[in-house]
Amino acid sequence: MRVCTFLFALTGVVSAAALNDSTCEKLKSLQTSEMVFTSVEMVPAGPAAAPAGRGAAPAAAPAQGRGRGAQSPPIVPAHCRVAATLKPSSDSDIKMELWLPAQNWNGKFQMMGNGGWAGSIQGLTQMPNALREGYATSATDTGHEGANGMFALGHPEKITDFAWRAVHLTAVESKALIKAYYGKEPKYSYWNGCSTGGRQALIEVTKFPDDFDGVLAGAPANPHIYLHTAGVERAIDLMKHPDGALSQAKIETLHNAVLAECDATDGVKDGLVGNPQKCKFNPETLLCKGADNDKCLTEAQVATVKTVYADVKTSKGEIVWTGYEPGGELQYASLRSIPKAPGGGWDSVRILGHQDANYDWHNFNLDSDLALADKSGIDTHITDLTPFKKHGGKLLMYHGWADQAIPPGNTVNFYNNVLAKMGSKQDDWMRLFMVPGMMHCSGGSGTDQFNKIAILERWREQNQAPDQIVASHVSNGQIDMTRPLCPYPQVAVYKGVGSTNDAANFSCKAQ
Amino acid sequence: MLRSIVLLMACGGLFAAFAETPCEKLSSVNLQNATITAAESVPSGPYRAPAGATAAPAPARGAEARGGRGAGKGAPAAPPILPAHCRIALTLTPSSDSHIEMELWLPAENWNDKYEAVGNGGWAGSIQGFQQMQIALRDGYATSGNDTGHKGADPVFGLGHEDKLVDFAYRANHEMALKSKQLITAFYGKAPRLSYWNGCSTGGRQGLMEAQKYPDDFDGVIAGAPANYQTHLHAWDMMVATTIRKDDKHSVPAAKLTMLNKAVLAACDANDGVKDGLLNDPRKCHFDPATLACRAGDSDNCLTPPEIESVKLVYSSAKKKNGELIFPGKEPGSEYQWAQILSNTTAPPGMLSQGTFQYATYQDAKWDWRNFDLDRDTATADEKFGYVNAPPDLAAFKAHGGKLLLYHGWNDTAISPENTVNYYEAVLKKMGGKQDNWIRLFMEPGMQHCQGGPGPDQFNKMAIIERWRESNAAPEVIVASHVAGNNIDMTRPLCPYPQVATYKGTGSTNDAANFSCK
Repeated sequence: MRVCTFLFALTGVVSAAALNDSTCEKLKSLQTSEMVFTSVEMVPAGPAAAPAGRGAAPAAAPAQGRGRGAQSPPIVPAHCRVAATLKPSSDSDIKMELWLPAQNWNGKFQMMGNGGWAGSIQGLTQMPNALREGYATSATDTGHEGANGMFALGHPEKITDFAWRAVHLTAVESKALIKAYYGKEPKYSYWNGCSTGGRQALIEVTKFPDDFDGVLAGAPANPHIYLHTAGVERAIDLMKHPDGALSQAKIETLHNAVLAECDATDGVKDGLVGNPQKCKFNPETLLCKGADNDKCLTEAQVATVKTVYADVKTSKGEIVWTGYEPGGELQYASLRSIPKAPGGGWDSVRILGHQDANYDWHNFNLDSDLALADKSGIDTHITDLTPFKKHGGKLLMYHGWADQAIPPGNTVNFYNNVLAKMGSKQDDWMRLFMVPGMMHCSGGSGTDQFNKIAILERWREQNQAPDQIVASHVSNGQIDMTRPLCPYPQVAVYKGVGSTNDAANFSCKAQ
Repeated sequence: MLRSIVLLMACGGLFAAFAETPCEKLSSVNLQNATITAAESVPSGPYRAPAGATAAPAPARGAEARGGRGAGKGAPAAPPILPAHCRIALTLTPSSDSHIEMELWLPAENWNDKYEAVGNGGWAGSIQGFQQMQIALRDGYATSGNDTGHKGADPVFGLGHEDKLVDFAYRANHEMALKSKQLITAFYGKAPRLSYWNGCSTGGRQGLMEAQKYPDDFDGVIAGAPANYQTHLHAWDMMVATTIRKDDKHSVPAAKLTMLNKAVLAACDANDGVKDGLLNDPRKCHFDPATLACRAGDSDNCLTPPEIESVKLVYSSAKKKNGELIFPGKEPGSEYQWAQILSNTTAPPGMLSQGTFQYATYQDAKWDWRNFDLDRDTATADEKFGYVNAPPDLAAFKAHGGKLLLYHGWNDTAISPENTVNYYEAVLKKMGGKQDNWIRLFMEPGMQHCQGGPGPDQFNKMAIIERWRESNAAPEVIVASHVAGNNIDMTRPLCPYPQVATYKGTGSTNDAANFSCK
């Protein structure tokens, strides 16, 4: 009731060019026991500063610097900053931030995702960009601190928060605060996430199809438990050949052999494998015939390479997660050093599964531990996305073929599974763009730069589906290559004349 | 029938004459007034600068540092891997006083049948094009660059060496084009199918000079921010430099220039429909610096009367007493870069501009810049050194089938961008209003000299001119990007002059798709 009165009072203010300090201040009246504000304040235009105690932000949003390479912090416009703690359960402690532009709001909401185990508001690095473009923008830490799975030990409610609740509630509360601040709901709401942010995207699409009108799902870590248990299985497989690590020179030998066999199949010799799934390179062809040297692989090294490329399967032969794709060898850590422990994914088994920090990985069994950890409820395993489609939502997925953290074949499988469930013609609302040579979310030798949110918006708001995306590769501050990205299963094919660094000389074609 | 047989025989004869010559044997090719100093097969590998080569300026088409495949963002870029090529170093001596050093690189495989020549900056004095040549080589071109015939980026070389000034003005590039084509023909057994010029700044002037004076040398010319007319460009520089040095009151501190720039943007930025720090057409901004006049005491937030005079001077054109335009001034929006013009006035004017008069025109090391007289010295420079200027006579280039792609950044403070607009309009005036089938000008909001600045400056110039020349696809719009760090943070269309990119009213202003050329 109090909220309604407040909203009524606010409507007179909305037409003003800029919303003043008191409009921001008044949001405090929306506090409830489940949403406690730690800060509600007007922030004047100026360099974006990461709030104290939030940890260093990774590679920051681009600055509108004057000369190239000027890496001054981005200038963000004046905004109302809301920092809140959400407590949907007694054990919940979900941190969220919402930034509301005081002027020139574009009428839209853009929410940012997390990476890895989350544990901080990682979206703070992307939010300045969104704010500058006029969005109301928010992000969450998913309800715990620290980028590992230890938070889940004895905290089932925090597992739920990490799984889906923090993101959903942050979206719901953000929209309520937006409505209170501007006097109207956002015209469109968008999700923008990669990695764990890609998983969060797919959870939202399946579980809360009305939260977002357009969803960017990059390199989705979905299903989380499958990714992690497959990683554990792969690590343990690698340990079977402790002398199987490849030197840098051998990795280059391997990479060059892969390129020699598979680079030119897309019509261009450019160091990029256009469709790695068509590359059937056999590492045994590199087996040393005589003495060991940089140009060949020992039997143990061949085994390592096979493990890295191989799909991880249950004892019944079902794929848990696909292997790393040929072409990205220079960045695959598993080729370089044999692990001594099963890595960051182990927390999904010992904590989410066994609730035992001392659980011995030697007891790992893929079949049973996958089933056990999956009971934590992190993942949905839903491929029928009809409710999201009916909502009018657009789903734009992308994944780098040279992803060194999350093997990309799984995203192709997810896409195909949705088609299998819903029918083969779904491209009016869902498209997948595989990016040759791109590493995890960005980087690598492929063209990784494209304005994802602009593409999604044109699709949702103007019904212009992305038939192809012109993407760029940047090095040393200069664009040195452009290429089209194509809706899967199409690939970019060279037309045969002109520079191979120019997108105009390629077209999207079904293979 | 008989004619065909003769023709075939002639072709056969030609073919025999054009038999391929291995790299190491190219030194035996008979070249007039030229000596090959090196002809070597270079295997594929990281680029190694030749001994004595000075650092090249940032290239126009992307530093091709893709050798380290998969190098992650932020990782130090590996040196670029160059394909195997035949490297030829030559010294050209078209006159007895000439000593032009050039390099020609010929891809050992996958030659795209084309030739790309790259230009210089400032007074040249070294082969500044090595970085651009690496990119060209990787794209499959035979490519060459030269030092224009002297060592050192300083016009002192011209003292007593008119032949070297002629080499700098136009002869070095023409000779390079001829020798490059001759060696390409010898190496591959056939002449290049198409030849392109790619240059900015002095390289832009060189491009216009080639198109005007040697219209058959190139089939496509990219001329960025051309330093043309050089005598007039430097006359403007000297007018400003000498005027503000007459006392110690006319220099303007850098902080005030930043303040001025902010005031200009506050007044004019939104006029083009988008507040983005870019002025689509700065000529439409009529900001009066007098509105910043100090009212009570001097501070960084206001301008004193002599400072206002200085600022107005930089905006203004250099004109002869009879009102004839010599060279236009700098544009509103570019003030944040004016410190090099207005802040450090205790030092004498730079040799870059002064040298055109002191060495190239008057041939007098004792010439005193304090005596610079705009009318007299501009006229004398045109008389003595006017051959460095490329007039807008391009009928022969058009007849050859050449395409001319001009570009210039509106925030250029080294070479006033309006000068290129004037050049373009002079061509139209001479040849008729409708020439866009072979000449187009792209003005770039917010771009500084050749590149950099807050405006989108990244676009593949070579690909654009090639599609125009080879596929007859004229550039109606060019999508350019702005890069910060290793991220693209803005794309915008560049429009053929006089069109400008206009916001459609919805969607991100950092996305080219939300703009159209109007």
